Amino acid sequence: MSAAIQVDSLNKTFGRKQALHGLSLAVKPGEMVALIGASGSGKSTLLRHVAGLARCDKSVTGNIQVLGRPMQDCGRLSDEVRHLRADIGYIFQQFNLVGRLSVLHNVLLGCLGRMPRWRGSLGMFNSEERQRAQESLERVGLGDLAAQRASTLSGGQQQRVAIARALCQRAEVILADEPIASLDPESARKVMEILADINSRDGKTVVVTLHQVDYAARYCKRAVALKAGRIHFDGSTEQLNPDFLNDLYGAELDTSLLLPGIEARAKQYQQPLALVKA
Amino acid sequence: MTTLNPAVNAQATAKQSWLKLFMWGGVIALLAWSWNGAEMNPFGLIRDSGNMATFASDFFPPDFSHWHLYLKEMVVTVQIAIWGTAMAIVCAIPLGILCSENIVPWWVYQPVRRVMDAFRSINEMVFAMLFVVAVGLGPFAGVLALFIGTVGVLAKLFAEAVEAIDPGPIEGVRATGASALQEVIFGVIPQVLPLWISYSLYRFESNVRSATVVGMVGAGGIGVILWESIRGFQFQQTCALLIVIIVVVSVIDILSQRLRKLFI
Repeated sequence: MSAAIQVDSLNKTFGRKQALHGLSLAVKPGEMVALIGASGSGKSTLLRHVAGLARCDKSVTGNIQVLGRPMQDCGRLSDEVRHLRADIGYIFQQFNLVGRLSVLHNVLLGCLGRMPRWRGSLGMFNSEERQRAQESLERVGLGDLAAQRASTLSGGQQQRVAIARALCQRAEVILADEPIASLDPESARKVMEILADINSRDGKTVVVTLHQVDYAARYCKRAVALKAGRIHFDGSTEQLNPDFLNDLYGAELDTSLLLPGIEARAKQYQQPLALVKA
Repeated sequence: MTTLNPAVNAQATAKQSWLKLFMWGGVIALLAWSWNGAEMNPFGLIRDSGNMATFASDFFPPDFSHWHLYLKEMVVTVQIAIWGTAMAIVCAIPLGILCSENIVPWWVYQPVRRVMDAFRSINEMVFAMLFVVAVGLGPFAGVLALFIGTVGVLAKLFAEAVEAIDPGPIEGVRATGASALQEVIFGVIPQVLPLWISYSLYRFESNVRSATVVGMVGAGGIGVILWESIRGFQFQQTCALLIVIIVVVSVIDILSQRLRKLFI
């Protein structure tokens, strides 16, 4: 079976700083993968490239395929990029809802990629699409807020609306870029539960970038760690241990904060890392 | 951050005060330079104050004997402003988007902006004279004159609103597979709509004021009879006309301001 996401030797340079170094990655259909790494390690950049929201460097090789179809090649977006984006649901850290539109209308925007252009541009959504949007909202537990303006919702609710938009979009691949980084713990838990449910129940491929390694360990089987634009680790989240994380985050973090869920494992290392750094 | 070294601080302050002095010198020099060109003559005001008083007294009491004509023409004036503004809004929406550097590439927004600059830089009165030649005497020439000028202004104001938006929602819409046009319709317009409405109403207010004068060159509205009364030295009628203009323009300003507050 072909990969849901196939990235081959991707390079990206911002000005003089190279953010991604010949990065290659394959994600199988139905996987739930956590992308972890320190700030600036390139995980968000990678995700934006997969969604075709950014273009890789022109001069060198670099190729991304999603669902077996080309997304970009050597710095050129595919001509079919808008069609392909319809199959990719993207969740942003800052939700990126249209604040002045109603919650339901925001979810309906997910239909734009799959309806005739003229009808989409006029905002003429039919009853089947409205039905689907309402169902998506109910699935994320916000069915009764459909008529409210999106800007009146809390951050956690807005993020769930964004997920409903991806559901309404019927995306095969969900890319979530720091979906819980600006949420409180309870909202974060809800958002991660919904993403995990979409993965397990609907069989959608989910790639999620996370700061919180404990969330990665709890919700994802596979983790890919980036460090300075290169893949530093790719394997089961069970292999993540404090030593490794210290290495990944440059030994500047209190790993007991990063990974409270596996503190027991930390004890085996005899070394109270939290105290060393304190 | 403040510098701890007092010597460096003193130096910086001295440099600043020199700069200030230089700037004020520049302003004074500019005013002096313009004095002669503008033939400034404040003493004339005092010397001829007697004439002015006689002239002013000719305006009173205002002569409202033709008030129904004035009112009718004032309504036409407002109608000119309504159509001039409405047509301008319709055209300024796409042109405003095409002037925004965060939406279109430079080779689109630069030429469009220059054309809008040209529309703005020429006064309505000039366009009114030109359109009177083109479409004949009457209010329609006034509508076209206001339309051109207002397109130039609104496109610029609309573009400024667009350039200040949050790019996040646009990307959110783009990620769903929407077309470029749909990104603008759903990602941009909802964000700028309140400002756009406010700017449009403001322009309508100023267009009512402008519409009162385009008639002077034959482009319809109350300006036609205003010009005739001035040329015929019928200053009491002129006074009545001015009062009608002041009242109607003020009422429209107040209403429009109320309306604008709702949108901001």
